[in-house]
Amino acid sequence: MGEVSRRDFIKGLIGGLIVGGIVGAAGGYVATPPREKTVTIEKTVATGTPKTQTVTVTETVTAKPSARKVPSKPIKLGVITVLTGPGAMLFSTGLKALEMEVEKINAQGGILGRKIKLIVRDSGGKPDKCIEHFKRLVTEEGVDYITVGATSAEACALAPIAEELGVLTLIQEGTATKLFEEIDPHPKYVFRIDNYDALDAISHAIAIHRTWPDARKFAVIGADYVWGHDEWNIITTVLKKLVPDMEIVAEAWPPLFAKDYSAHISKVLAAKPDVVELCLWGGDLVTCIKQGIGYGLFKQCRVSSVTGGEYIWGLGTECPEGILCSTRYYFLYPPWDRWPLNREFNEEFHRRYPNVRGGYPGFNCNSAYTAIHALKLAIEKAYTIVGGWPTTEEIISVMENLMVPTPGGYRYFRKEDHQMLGYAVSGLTKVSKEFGFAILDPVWVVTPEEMTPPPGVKWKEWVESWRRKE
Amino acid sequence: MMWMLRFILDGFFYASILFLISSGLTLIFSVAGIINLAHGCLYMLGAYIAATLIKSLIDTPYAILAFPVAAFIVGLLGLFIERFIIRWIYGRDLVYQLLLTFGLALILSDITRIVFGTEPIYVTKLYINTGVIDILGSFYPVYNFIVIIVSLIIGCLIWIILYKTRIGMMIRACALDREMSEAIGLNTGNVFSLTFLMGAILAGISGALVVPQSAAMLGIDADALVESFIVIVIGGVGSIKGAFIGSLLIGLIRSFGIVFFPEIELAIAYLVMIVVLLVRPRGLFGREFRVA
Repeated sequence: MGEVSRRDFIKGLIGGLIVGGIVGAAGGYVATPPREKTVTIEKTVATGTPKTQTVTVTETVTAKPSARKVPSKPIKLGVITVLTGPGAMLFSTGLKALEMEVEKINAQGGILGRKIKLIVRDSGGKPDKCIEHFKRLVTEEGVDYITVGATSAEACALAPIAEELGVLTLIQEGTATKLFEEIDPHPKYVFRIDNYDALDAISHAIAIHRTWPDARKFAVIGADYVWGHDEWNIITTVLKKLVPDMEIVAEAWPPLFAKDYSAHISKVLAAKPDVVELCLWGGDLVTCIKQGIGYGLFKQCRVSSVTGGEYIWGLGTECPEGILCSTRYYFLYPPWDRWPLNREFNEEFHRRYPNVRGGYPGFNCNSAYTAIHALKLAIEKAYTIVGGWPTTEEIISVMENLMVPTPGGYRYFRKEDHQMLGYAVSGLTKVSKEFGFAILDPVWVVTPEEMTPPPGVKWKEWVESWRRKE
Repeated sequence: MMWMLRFILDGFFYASILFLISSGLTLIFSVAGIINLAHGCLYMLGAYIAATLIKSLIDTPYAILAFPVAAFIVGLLGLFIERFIIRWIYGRDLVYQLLLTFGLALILSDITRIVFGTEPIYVTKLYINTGVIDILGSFYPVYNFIVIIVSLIIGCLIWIILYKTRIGMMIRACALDREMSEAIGLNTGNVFSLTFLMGAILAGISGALVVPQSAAMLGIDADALVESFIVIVIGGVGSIKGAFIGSLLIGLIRSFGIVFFPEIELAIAYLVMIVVLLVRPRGLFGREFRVA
């Protein structure tokens, strides 16, 4: 083939692709159905703070059962999560748990007889894409509700838009502290399920102090981005309150998704700390622990990790013992014999996905479970109260006071800032031959009362206000 | 003093991996004139293939075979890419190369994701089982020593091939003047294929060597590519010696940077590169080059 003809061929190919793309996009746009109109129903608006949901809602909502028939078509639940890029490892398991629960609910007849249809979109961890998906789910797909398993940046970008469009949005992760502290301080349509970053750090600092009350010299190997620095800032602020004479002897900040931590470990070891905190997550934590073994890190100091709980599964039985790990949900807590819901959830997950990241559900699986069951519970409760299919606003007023049984125990939404509260789990690693990785044993919890600032109060003001009991 | 030794060893270890990746990249560029943006993906594939093999062979002595096998498979892939894809753009404008190899990089990383999944593959056992040695009272992993030695051996092998064999002479002739080499009857097509094979093998083996100490995961390709570009810019494009010195420099600077100037740890490699480019634009050991 000659020089000119080949170039023409490439030109033709590129031209063809562009034209094809435009035609395809236009066709897709024309072909999408317009959003269906929703029927609005008159009702009086609630005033004042209710004591219990049942009393309030029955008092304020005028039910018109004849006009509030349960629609026969399925509930469209939009799901935005991260299925490509580095975040995929974390979020893809949450989606698996969500699909599992939806399948189970649908098999039992759905929510009030309506099947749930998931419409899943992949944001790739990018806020702009996340927003685009959100808008298109609402305008083009006409979804009823949306749940999001996404990064902090995505959640922060999304919340104002969800409020503006008035779509009930359950954020599973997206645990930036500033979401409800600064960006969306008086949420109406947005709820968040998992413990947020400040709670992780405060509970972890409390756990460090309880486990090793004699520790004075602290060091950190932390991921060099906002999350890593924020967590360490909170941990040290709390530790200073608990251990006034504590000192920070070394800080090493490898970049996110680094593959070599040798020099960082060497640096921290040289400072001879009592406790080394690993402010890392996912593969970073696993790689750092592994390289730490080679450097004798675990023989020379005590090590803790604010996220550890489930990531250490990646180390198999080679995981060092005695690392203090914290997490938002731990698959063995509450113990299976005392909380059958947790056992069932774990066994079912393990049966379906034995090869997914350790084969057991992680914290984002628990939050996916919580999202769908909170929605189900809220709709069913609202239905019994208003005597018909509830509006989004009615679901929200029920959800604002909702207590949900989850695999990780009971959790509830706080009315003022729509943050769900549950305890945090900490424990020391111990290799388990039965599971083929290190489990946390013993396990203990930090309760929401111990670690959560009151609504409207920023974590820093709250921690600064702590007074030691003399 | 003892800590100083550790920082130096950390730097050597980092440099070893970097040297293997960047020498492959610089070899391909100097001979075939191709800036191979898919080189990082070959490295990542080497890591994934080695990780999968080691994982399934971990309890047998054959686990060690994972390294050469991974390198060989990636080498064949490099050969395939050269023969059927890159061959069409020799002598074309630089933009074609960049678009083509960048496209290849995207395709390869998606293939990796489809074949191996999104979760990182860890092989901890091999790294732990090689043990630790006690240097003046502080521990150091034996595996890191092995990697340093292996990369030195491979470096020597490259040198022998390039400077002591007939094939090496042909490769160097092609690198110096392609037209003249063709004029005296050299089959430059075969030499280019061979160079790609060698370059890809180097990428594959470096990926494989990283796995036991770190992990095979998505995204390691971009970092590797960027850092090896810094190395070859510092060392001089097309120079294996430059790649060696460049990676040693980056390895040591990084290791000491983490300790003494942690705030600018990431920037420091680029600063060195900028200084080198200002003072000696062709790099420490580079000759003047032109894109064919």
